[in-house]
Amino acid sequence: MVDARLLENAARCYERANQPAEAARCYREIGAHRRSAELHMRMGNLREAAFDYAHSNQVHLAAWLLVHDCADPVAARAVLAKDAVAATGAGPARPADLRRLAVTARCALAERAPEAEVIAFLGEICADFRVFRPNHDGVVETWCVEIAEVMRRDDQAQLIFAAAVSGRRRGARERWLAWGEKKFGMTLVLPDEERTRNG
Amino acid sequence: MAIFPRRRRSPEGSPPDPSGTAVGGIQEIHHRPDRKPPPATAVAPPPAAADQPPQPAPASELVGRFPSAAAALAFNGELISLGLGERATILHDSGASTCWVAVVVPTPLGRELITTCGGRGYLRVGDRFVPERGWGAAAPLRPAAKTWVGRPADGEPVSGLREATPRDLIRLAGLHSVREASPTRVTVLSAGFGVGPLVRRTLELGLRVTHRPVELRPLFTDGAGSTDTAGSVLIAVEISRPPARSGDVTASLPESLLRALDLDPQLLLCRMPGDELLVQYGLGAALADGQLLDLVPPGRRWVLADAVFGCAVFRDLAEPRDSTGLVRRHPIYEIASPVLGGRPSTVEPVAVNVVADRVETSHVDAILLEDDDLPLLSLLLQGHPLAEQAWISFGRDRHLLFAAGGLLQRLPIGEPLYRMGPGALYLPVGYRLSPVLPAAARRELFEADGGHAVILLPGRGLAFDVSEPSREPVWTLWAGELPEIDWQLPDEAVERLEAVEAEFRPKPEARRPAPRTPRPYTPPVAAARPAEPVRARTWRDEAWEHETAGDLVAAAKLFERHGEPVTAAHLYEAAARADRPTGARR
Repeated sequence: MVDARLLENAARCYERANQPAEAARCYREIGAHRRSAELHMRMGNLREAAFDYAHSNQVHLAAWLLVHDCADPVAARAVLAKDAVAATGAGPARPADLRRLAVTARCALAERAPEAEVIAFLGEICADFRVFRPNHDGVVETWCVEIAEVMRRDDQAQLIFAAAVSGRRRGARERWLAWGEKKFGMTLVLPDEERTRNG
Repeated sequence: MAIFPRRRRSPEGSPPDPSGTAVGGIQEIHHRPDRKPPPATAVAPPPAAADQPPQPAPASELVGRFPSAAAALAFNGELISLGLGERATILHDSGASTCWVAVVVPTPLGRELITTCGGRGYLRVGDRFVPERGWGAAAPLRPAAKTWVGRPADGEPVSGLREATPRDLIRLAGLHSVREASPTRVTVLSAGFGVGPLVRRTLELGLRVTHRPVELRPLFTDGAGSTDTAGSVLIAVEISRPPARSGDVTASLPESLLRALDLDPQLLLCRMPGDELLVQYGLGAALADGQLLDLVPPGRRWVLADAVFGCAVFRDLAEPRDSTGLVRRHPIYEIASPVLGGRPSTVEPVAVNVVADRVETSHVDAILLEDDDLPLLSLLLQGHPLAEQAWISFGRDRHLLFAAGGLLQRLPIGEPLYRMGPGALYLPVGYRLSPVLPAAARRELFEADGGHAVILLPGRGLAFDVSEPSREPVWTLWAGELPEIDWQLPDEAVERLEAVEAEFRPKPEARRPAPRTPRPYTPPVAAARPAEPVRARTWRDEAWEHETAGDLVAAAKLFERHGEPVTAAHLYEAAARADRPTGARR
């Protein structure tokens, strides 16, 4: 049995000495998986980071890393299967449900599923985006846009932004403009906010 | 039902060619009740009317020609199942490897059975077997014709064939693989040395085992397995599952056990169609087991196996005995009278040694050097950060390079060591103690403290004096004589110093300090230590004292405070794992 407090001190010193691998090892040993995952992310060890995220109740993030960055949909689905609370289909969608939908869509894309199937997933998420919620999950929007970019379907990306603007998500309009600037090198002419909101 | 296209019959009532010389003509020959070979020109009786009750199929002597003994044996098995086995005559052509089976059988049935077993129908005509035409009444394919000069006679001569028995066919045919359900009892033939493990393994599965010695003689040497030649003796171990409590239904034996025994090249696993017959597991003859049993002569017992073991006749040399007594008893179950007042048995202590470990430790705390390594070490460490941190302790022919908190670096010389603790107890990297000792035992047995470092190597151990002043900064290896230093003091100061000195010494001699030279190594004997001034203590000395005293956290804090986080982390980690018996990170 190791002394977690001393091992945490050791990890802190390793971080100070710029030895993140050793620090992550110590953090993982004492169960501080989130800190270990952050260090692995900083080092670019995405698979190790996914392992730690999966052990810190962030299975969706772990699965996203595996399927999007490591191109391993099989491992991603295995991690996703550990998600104890799956979407029930009834009632308003929780952020976890949307994340699960997005990861499932990315897995389907990686498994070369028909494009219509992936778009159906995105459509389901967009439908939720159009509903105003005070606490929205910005990660899902980013993931959905990345899925659309992998599909080379800019129209789907714009639909996602439009749904986010329609659901009055904070900063969605600016993110849409920034995406258009980066993607097309020009400022998009967006409909005014009221029109977008009314569909 | 014949599946071959039949030739069109000749018109009813049309007489056969009386001359019998028409080679191309096909003549229908109907039932002949006698068993004599049909004449070359058989006369067909008038056919039965369609409205008459069905007559029994005409019987005739058909001869099957089979390309192999296995086919002939299969045909013989069919005849035995029809109750015609005793009427069959088996002939063997050793030159052509063909077998002939002649039997009086209803013609249609005989034809179908012969073709089913891969043979071809023949008829006996005189002293020859001629091909049978295959339809209608039994008749030769070609009527007997006048032999003219240059035309070979039809068929095969009977005179070149040798009469054989079904047992000969078994020998010629050999055995083939069969897949069968797990038997309920088997017999294993084994040499004596293999019986013990076999019985122990079987008993562990809760099976019933009996054994008996048997004597085996070759089955096919003299035709009947005579008993006048010396045979070999093996042990027959019979394995069966005890009957279930609920009823008489006996479950089959475990498939895994049967497979394991079958794969053992030193055993012969046999299934038991009957008490008189053992057949190698997984093999079978062309005859059914029941028919094989009928072939065994009364009072004989056969073993049929592949060519590796051979077929044998065996007889029991003793009655079967329960095999439980063959299992070797563990010494702890020896029956002995209790010793009253005696000392209970104790565990024999094992010599403590250093053995190779499965996992190599990843860090290096010290390095064990030899004399030849010292020049290289001085070259390596000049300009190296370790030159400021490391100490060296000189021995007779081995020297220890170490540092407070550990070196934490590998050098291309010497043998790397890791600190196992407690105190300065070192082991080579990749080795561990055997048996595993707790920290308290290591402290008591090796007495490695701040004054002495103990290095345990495979088969031996070394001890170094690592106390002040025996441990020296490693830079003393290459820092030699200093240049002469001229003290630049003002004249007034020199005059005052000379005045002060004159009061205490009549003749002041030297005002400058003596050049510094490396201290020679002194043996670790407290009485022989020189009384020269001890060098100034640093925080590293304090950390070393904490470390060897077991207060790794205090040492770590010192390193952390002085900006050496790697060493501090190493010490923290060692402190966190201090309870582990190995005392080191894996």
